[in-house]
Amino acid sequence: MSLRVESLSHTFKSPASEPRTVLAIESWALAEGDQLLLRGVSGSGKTTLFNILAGLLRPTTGAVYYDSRSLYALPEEARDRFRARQIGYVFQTHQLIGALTALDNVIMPMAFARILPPSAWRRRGLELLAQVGLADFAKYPPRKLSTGQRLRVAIARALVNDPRLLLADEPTAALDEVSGASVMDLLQETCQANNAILIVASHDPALMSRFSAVIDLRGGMLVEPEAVTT
Amino acid sequence: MMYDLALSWRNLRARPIQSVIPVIVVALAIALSITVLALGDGAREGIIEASDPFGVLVVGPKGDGQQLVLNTILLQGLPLGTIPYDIYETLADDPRVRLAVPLAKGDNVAGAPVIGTNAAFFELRTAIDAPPAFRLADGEIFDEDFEAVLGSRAADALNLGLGGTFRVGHGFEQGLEDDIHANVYTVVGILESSGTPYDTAVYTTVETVWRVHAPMAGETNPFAVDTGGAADRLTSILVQPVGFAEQNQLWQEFYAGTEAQAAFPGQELGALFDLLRQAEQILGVVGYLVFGIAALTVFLSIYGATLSREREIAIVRSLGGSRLHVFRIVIFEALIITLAGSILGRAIGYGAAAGIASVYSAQSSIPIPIRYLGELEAVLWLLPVGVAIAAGLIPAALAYSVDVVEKLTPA
Repeated sequence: MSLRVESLSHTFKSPASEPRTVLAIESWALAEGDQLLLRGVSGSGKTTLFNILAGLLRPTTGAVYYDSRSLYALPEEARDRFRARQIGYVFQTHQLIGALTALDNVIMPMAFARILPPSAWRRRGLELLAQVGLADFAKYPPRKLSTGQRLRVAIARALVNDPRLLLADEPTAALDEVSGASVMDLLQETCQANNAILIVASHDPALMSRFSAVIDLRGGMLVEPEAVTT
Repeated sequence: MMYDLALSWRNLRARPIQSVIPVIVVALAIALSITVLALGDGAREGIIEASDPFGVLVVGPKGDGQQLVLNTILLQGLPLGTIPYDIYETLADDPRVRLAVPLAKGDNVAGAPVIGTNAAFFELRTAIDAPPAFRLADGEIFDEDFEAVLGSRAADALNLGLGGTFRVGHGFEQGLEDDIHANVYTVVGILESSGTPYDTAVYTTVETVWRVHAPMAGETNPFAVDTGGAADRLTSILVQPVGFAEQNQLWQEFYAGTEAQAAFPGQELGALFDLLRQAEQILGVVGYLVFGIAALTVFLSIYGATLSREREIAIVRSLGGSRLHVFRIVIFEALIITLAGSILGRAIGYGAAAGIASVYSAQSSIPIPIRYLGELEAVLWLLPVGVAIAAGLIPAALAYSVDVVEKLTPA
């Protein structure tokens, strides 16, 4: 699956303040299997771009295409189903559901994607938890897991439907160097194996060497990085 | 759909106190309705069953027809007074009457009423082709004065068997030793259970009742006899006319007369049922109020829970859950609460009704069968579903309209 963005902009409107345009991308495309590091300071529009790419936030102008399909031309329910089946999203704050166990959190996207039958959900969920090193923590609620473990549950959840696009927002922010490297290995290897697009939003300089494609988001616009430090 | 249901269940389990309280309130609302309805139904059914063998006319002194019927058929309250025995003789010889049964009350054995009657009593039937309603389990029907036949419950309560002897006390309730008559009765028969208040009674001849009270002649004794015995009296007479027309003729004759009245048990009990129905209606209003409170409790629980987990709803949406999914999850939560309350309420309601019925039956001797409410049950299943939808609608709409991006953005 390829990704293409055209004339994309997003403006936040608030009755209390002037409209604020946080994103303005003329044209941008990624091919199947591409892996991209998206850099940008806090407030540069990374999360807004991710939300738009995930079909969660309708852009003010422009369009997002997956292959030839315009994401926002789809009815909302079809867009929800598309997101469940094709997009994995690792949130910066993990966003696990406290009332569910680690395994149930991982199973949830399968229930909405309906790719596998319900009888296969548990096996697949356990498989993913084992893949992120949490086989023994399946029954744990998120509150009993460490920050790193919660992140790995969030990664397992994002990968469980073999998405064609994986969005990871600051995945290493709360981890030490070794754990961060391990998480990045997992994300990159899985996407490579699935030939999926991987976009990692991070300002962690340690990640620069891992990506052949790096792009900066500055003032809502995508620009080539001025300097690459490794 | 099943996944949404499972998710609702897990959400409820994650906040046990908030979930259990509305379940209890719904259970109490259902329990109250079921207890009232089941007891009302049981009382009606019990009274109908208990009055079944006693024919279509009760003849007794002029006065409150309902009191006459309740005392004669259900052994409740006091007799209105007495009527001359010759009314019975006239009725017994009347070709319009299939069966006439004399009843003379006035004594008790340790609280069990003593009823003076004759062999006709043991011919009472619920229908012409039905077996007698009062059948001997053991022994025989009394033949001589001071021989007695015991109802099944009376035999148990008095702990008497065939050949056993006892003395009777004056009046309708167990009183002082001074009230006990000197005559000794002998048990000659014990009846099978009839499922009527008459199971608690002791039967003897009418003449026995008169003889027991003979020494009291001249006093204020309902059965006081003069020396010639012409003033022999009864408390009431059960009459089974041969047909509908004869029944109406007899009623009109008594209505026009001055000595006695004839009352239709069906009509008098119907008036009693009307009173019962009015009481049910009043309690029904209370039931609706309790249901309103239950709906409000469910609403507050679900609404509070929905408000406090908007972020989690946004997560569900971000993972591909549609607006319809989150709407359904909230409605299912309300449904699970109300249906759990309904099931619990049924257990409490039928249990309480059975308990109250058992205590009241033991006290009053009127059977109160607690039955499944049938058609009303359907309403009592649908009502909680309505409560769930009404209480869950606003919280579900709130979940439906959660702004996913806003709720997922760290504060």
